[in-house]
Amino acid sequence: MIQSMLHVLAFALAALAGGLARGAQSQRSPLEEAPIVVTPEHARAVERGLEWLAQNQIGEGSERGAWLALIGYKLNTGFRHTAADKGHLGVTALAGMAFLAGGHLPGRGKYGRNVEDALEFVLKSVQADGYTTHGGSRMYSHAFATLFLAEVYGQTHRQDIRSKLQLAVDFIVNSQNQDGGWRYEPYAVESDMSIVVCQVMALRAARNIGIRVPKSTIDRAAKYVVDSAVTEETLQRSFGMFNARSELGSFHYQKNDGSRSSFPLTAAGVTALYGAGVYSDRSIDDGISYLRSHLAHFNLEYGRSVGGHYFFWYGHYYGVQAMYTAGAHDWESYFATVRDEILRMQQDDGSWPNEVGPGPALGTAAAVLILEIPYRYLPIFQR
Amino acid sequence: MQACLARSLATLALLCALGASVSARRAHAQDDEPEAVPRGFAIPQTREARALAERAETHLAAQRWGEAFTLLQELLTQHRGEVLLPPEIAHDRDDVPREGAAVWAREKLASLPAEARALYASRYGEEAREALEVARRTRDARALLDVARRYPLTPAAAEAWWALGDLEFELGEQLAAQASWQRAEAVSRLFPQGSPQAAARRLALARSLAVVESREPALPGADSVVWSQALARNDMLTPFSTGSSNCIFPTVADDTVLVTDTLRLWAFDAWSGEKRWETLEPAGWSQVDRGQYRPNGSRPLLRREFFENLHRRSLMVRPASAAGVAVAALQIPYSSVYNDMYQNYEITNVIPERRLYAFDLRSGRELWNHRPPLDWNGSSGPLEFQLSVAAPPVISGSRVLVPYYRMQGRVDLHVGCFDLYSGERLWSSALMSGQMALNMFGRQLHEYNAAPVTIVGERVIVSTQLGSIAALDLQNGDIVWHALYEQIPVPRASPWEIVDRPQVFATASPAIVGDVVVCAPIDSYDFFALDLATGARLWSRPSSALRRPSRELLALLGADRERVWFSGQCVVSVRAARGIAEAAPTELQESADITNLSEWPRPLLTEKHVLVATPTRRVALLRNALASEFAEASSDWEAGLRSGNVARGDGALFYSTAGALFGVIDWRAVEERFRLQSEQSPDDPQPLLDWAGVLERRALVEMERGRSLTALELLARAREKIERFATPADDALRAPTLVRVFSLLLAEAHALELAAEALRALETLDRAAQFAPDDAALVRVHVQRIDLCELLERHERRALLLAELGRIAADRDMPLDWWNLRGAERFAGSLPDSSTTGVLPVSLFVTLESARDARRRADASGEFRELHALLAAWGNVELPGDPALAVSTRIGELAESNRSEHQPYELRASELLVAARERSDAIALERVSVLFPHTSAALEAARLRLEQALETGDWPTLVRGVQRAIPDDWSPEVARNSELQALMVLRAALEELGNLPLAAALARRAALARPELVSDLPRDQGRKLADLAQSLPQEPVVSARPMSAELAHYDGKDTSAYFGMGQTALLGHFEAPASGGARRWIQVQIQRTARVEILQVVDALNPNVALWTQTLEPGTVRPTTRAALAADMLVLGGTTQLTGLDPHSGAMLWRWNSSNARIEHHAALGGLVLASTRAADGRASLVAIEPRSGIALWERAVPAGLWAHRPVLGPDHLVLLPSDWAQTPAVVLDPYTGSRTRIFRLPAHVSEADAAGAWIDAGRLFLPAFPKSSSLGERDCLTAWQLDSGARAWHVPCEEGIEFDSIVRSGEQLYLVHLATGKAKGAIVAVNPRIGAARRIAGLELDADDVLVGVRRHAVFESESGMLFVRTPSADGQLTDLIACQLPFGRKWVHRLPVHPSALYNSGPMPMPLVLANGIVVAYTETPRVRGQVSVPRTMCLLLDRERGAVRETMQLPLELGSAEVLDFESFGPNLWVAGQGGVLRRTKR
Repeated sequence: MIQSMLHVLAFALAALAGGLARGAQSQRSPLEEAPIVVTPEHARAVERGLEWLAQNQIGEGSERGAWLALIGYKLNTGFRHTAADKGHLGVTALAGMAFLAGGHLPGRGKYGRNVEDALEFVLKSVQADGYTTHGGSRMYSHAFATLFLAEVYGQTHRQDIRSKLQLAVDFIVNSQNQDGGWRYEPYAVESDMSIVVCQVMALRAARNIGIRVPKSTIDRAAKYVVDSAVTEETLQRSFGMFNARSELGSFHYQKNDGSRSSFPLTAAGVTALYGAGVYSDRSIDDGISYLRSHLAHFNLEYGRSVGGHYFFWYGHYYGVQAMYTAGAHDWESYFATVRDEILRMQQDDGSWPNEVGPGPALGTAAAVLILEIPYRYLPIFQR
Repeated sequence: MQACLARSLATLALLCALGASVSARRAHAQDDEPEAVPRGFAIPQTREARALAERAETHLAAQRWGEAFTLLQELLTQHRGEVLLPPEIAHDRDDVPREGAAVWAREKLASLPAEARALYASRYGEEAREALEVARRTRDARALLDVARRYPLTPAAAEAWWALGDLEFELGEQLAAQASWQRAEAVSRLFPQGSPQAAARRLALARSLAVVESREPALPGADSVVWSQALARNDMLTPFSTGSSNCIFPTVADDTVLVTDTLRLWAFDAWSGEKRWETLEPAGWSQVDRGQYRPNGSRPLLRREFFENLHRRSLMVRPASAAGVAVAALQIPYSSVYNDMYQNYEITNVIPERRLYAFDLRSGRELWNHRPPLDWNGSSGPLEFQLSVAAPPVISGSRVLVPYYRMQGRVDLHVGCFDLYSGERLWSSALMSGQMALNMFGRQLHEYNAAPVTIVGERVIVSTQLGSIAALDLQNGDIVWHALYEQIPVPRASPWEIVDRPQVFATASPAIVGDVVVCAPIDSYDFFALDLATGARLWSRPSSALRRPSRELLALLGADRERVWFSGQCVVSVRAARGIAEAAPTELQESADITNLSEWPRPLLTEKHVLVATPTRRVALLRNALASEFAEASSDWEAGLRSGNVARGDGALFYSTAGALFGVIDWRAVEERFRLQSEQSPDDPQPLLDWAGVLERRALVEMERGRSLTALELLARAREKIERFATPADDALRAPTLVRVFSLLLAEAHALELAAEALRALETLDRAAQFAPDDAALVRVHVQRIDLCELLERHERRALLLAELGRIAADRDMPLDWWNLRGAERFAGSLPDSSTTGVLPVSLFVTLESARDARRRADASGEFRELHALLAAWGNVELPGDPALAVSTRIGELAESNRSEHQPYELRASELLVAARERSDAIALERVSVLFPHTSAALEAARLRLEQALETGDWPTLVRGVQRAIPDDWSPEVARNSELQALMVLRAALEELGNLPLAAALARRAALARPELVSDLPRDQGRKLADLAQSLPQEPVVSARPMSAELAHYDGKDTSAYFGMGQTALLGHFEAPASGGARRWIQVQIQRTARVEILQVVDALNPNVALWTQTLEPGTVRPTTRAALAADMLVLGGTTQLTGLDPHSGAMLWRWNSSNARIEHHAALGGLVLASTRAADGRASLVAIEPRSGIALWERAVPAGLWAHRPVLGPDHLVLLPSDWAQTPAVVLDPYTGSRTRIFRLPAHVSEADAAGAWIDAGRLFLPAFPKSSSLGERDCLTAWQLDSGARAWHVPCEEGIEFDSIVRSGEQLYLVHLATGKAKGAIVAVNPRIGAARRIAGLELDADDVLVGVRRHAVFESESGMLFVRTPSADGQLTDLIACQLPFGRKWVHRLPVHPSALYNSGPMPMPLVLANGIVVAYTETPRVRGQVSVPRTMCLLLDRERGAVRETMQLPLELGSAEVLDFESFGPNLWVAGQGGVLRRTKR
């Protein structure tokens, strides 16, 4: 018993030492040692995806610049929509990001007009109190919109964007709850991982370009994420009632032992920790390991077989970010698998399907973003 | 010890690990940031503003004026809506009030030394001057304000304030002008070139016009007049139709009392209670009522859905009025979301949205509104379109102030200030972003409400009810301070229901006393006081200091220098002897209890009293001695009054409840008021006219009390006062007097009638007729005189009056008040079909009454004349009487005993018949039969016409002819020979068409009346009706029942599977005709694509054989509907059409269009198809279609909203049940003729669920009353009604303590399912449908965990097999037991499903199992966990042995079918169909 305790202590001290030594950087090998080569097929898929997005952007009216999608919510493993044929703020932000990540800036280049229009739509959606919403969209969309604004501001330094961005960031900061998390609606007392990760990434992107974010907000969020990991302790505490041993290393949906865990939530957890500046923690290692081992099964369940479930897209959107930051071999093998799966899913018209979820605009934006990670144009996708 | 050490080491290890993380993170930290405090809400406090303020302070301290000005200007312009923590507070704290950034910046500028101020003026003076010139040129108050706000230390600012003051003075707003001038003066003093003389002159003027302190209005004493006005509507659901919560508050504006139910605003005369005007509902509600409001293009939202999510515990509804303008927040029919459910849990709700509307106080004319356009997208337009009003408006001078909010995930609260006269926004300030209780799906389920703002001087105090109190500058909306308080935390969402935030205080505005603001927000446990100038907390007291445990909401009533008053179950005050500015009040004083816990009437605190409307009396408590009453102003209620919210006028009190408004007016005050008014202007008749009106009103009250003589005295007094004005030549003076004199005379006549002075009443009316201001008034007098003449037996006079009435008002309807009071009851059946107003036309009334008079005087000739006139002009309407008779029926009666008087009509009819015959004029033949009933010629004409139609196959004419021959109230008991012969013609036609079931039904009904009668039709060869009925098929005519289980024997063996993708729906199995007279079972299904629908019919025994397909236009088959087989025709129901197809060939034979009315339901009943339709304008009707020809046999209009639109169909009966909330009776119709056979009243309201569950069997209507599905009448019971008599056959109430859930019908048997509640177990109770005897089925108790499979709550379903299925967690809780019960015997077997109960629970309900001859098909969807991870749901389908429950086959269904809850099973022979969302699976015998 004592021996095992000493083992734990030794591990902890080693982790501390490692953490101190590495600082903000992982010890893993840098990407350059095993680079992912962007094949012509890969590049062509991205280009066709961007073309599809450009063709399907709303060109006029009050929702000019947005992409049509179903605005709705997750219900168990399904998706129920509250509004159809509406400009979708979250999807628009992601699609805008897809253009940015492909090297297209507002008002410049082939898709400059598209990014500019998307930006205007997002800016219009920022309310007086900073909440960024349109047509009933919620905190997910707010976070993606904030992330998009941060990335655009980082590349343009437009003051009108900065003031709205600051409002949006403050809104995230102010709406963090006592748990350190966020939920679908702002100021809710509950939290969940899927919302936490996108808020953290928005805050991270804002900090990257000099927008003030209280450190206490990030710390509380990081603690929330760490506490959401499925660990030996949580398994023992719940006598294995809620999670099998195979779930070790994954992350819960909500921070309690009875909450489910899954591949996308784990990808979200690891990415959130990286976003919060935590690069070395056991939960990260365990999470990466979990992602690696569950990848094939996840693709099988939510990929092509079900027409690109939204779990698939958000799972890999965060999965590739997690693996990219983790670096080296983890990244290379993971990305290669995901890329192949995604390339196989592209439709004849250049889009990607999203049968369960907001629709093909989401699938396409997410797919393009995932494929663009190796381009390293966007700061949020850089280490 | 070891364990302890282990824990310590583990903790150390964790800390070390976290330390590593933290050290790693530090590299990214931005070190100078203050810590953010999670609060659950946010005020507009940013780090940027704070940084600017800090830097400005530094520059000011260093006298770097230029740099400081730049930063202060940035605060004034870019951060004006924000607040600042005081500079000495390093970290964010809740107990420190924030100062408005703009106010802070202005104060800093004002405190600068003279040279710095001069520098400021020189730097910004020119810019300010230019802006001022533009604002002046355009007389734009907003622009002037902007100059004063942006450049506070410039001469232009002073001038802007002067100009603003001048503008306000021009508008008559003296106080506002004075305030602006004072500001101007303050700024001017800073500059040597200011204009002190101008300032002094203006301020002196303002002071001279200062409002004189008014005396306290008197309270009504013992001699008072009481009036009441109903606010509730019987015909239309309104937000406050249900519930007794006192949310509605009246407002008194001079002589007008205003009240709103948020849909309409009413103005009543304060003295008389007469309604002055009433607004229409905001645009769009009529579209909701017509089912045309479909946000997002989905299903229409119902009116009631808009009112379900009011938060009655926090809602205040009160209009405001000033300067001749009335303002109210009215609800608009807009919603961005639906009421959406997951299983039985609400996900999203329709949240009410309100906007400001302003009306002219005198006329009610709409002046302006903030309603967005009807096709609003929810996010465009100005702020006042986008934000919903959160509290009653408050008016200050020419400004309307209101908190308004946006609920998009959170509550985003603003305060808006609008121009009273134009509605234009003067300013709007964003105050808060906060949250309310959420459900488990993270959604708000009801509206948010704030308190009305309080205005004191130039401060607007806002209780946000989101964790803060804020003070704004009335002039420009700048935040002066924002004070936080400890908010009651929002509870965590419960998995099953929304958990509301605890509430101890009712919504109430803060009370201001001197420099103290007393607040009791609904989201606080404490009441507290703030300093008016700074927002600093003075004291705080817990609500527990005021409440006894039994009390609930406490409403802050007001405060004075020593006391604070609250109302709850009683009135309480707390006192601080040293004054509330110095110390927290602690001395508690209580009144006696004033109300119960279900009603929360809001008392009114006045200078000396607390006025309370208790449930039993009105009370004026002395406010400093709550135990004592002011006896003069306290009184027991008149009957009918009840507790409510109080408002006060001078000598008057007004009380409003959800359903009514009451006025209590001091009689002396009334008289004094009018006396003074008339003395002041003796030549103006208006005060005297008003006085006369009040006397009249009081007289009417006295009449209601039975004091007719007192009433007469009052009326005479009233007339005396005004008669002298009835003569002047000036029409403008004369006309209103005549109207009043007329009204008084009418009232006098009524009083005389009540005093049994009929003759004097008639004389008074004769006099009144001379004053009648218009024809409508004259009609009113005539009608009253006609009634009196009858009473006095002055028949000749009556006849003359009737004739005159007919002459002067032939094209009018009878007066509405007469119709409502007397007419509707007597003449409702006489309304012609063409009536559009629903009120009797005068000329019809005259003819009906003339006929009655003729009958009374036994003048057969005259009666014949009048009756025939009725027929010619109005058709076969109903004559009032007991029993009511149709005109033709009465002619028949009369003709039997008055042959000679009838002879002229016989002759005339014969002449016309001969002429018609000669010309072969079909129309003339019809006219003879219609206009001369009961003549030989008419019968002959009808017979000829029918035969003609029969021979030529002119079915429409034939049907019309029969319809005409059959009276509306036809039944076999009162049938005449001619009617039976007409039915025989129809029967023959139906036989020819091949509709034998309907032909047989008609023949049986005719034979029931006269079995021995011989048919006239040559083709019947002299047979009797009984023989003819006997010769037709004898099957009972019943509605289609589910296909027999015994015909389905799928056993899972040797089958092949076919899966067809796409949207497919099963439309049913039918035994249809095949070639050679044979019959075969067919399976009908439809496959939909975006553009076409393909109907497929296969052989049900061999589904691989497609018999035919037919391509249909989209909309031919409505989703969720099934096909019907009637008279061997396949009938499909579409949105606006029914289509008949030959089931053998698929040929489309007819199409019946509903003239664009929506077909809401259709069903087959024997040889008929009955459809209920609703047109765009709300008109509804029932139509019976003959399925072989597609011809409508009859059609009945169903008045909108009064009856449930889906009729109850059963053998030989069709019943219309009253719709929920309506008081109409149930109506029984004969389905074959459409005639009305019975009307009877039900003792309770019938909810939608009740009506949908009702059925007819053996001549009885079985009507369930499910719990909670309607609010009125007896619930939780099943009642059987005898349809031939309208009597209640029996009544079975639900057992105490258990919940009535559903009803199972199985053949002749009937079972009530009761669910377990609390500790009581549920049960299944067998009910004998003949006598209503009920007994529990032994051994079939239902536990709390037991769930009926496939059974919706509060529904009736049929189980041909008598099998019922229950699922329950297995004993160890890990799996699910499916229990098969065979009614009435009990449990049959238990099958354990390999699925965890929670996996089933999360995946939606199981569908109803399909019972086959030898098996049971069961399906469920589970969400399995693969290695602990939630996986893709899968749907399993099991075939179980019917006798033992053993598994015979297990199938995993394709994902495309969707979850089990949407599956539809059918089986026939050895085949099984499973249809789902994305396809259909068929397992077919090889």
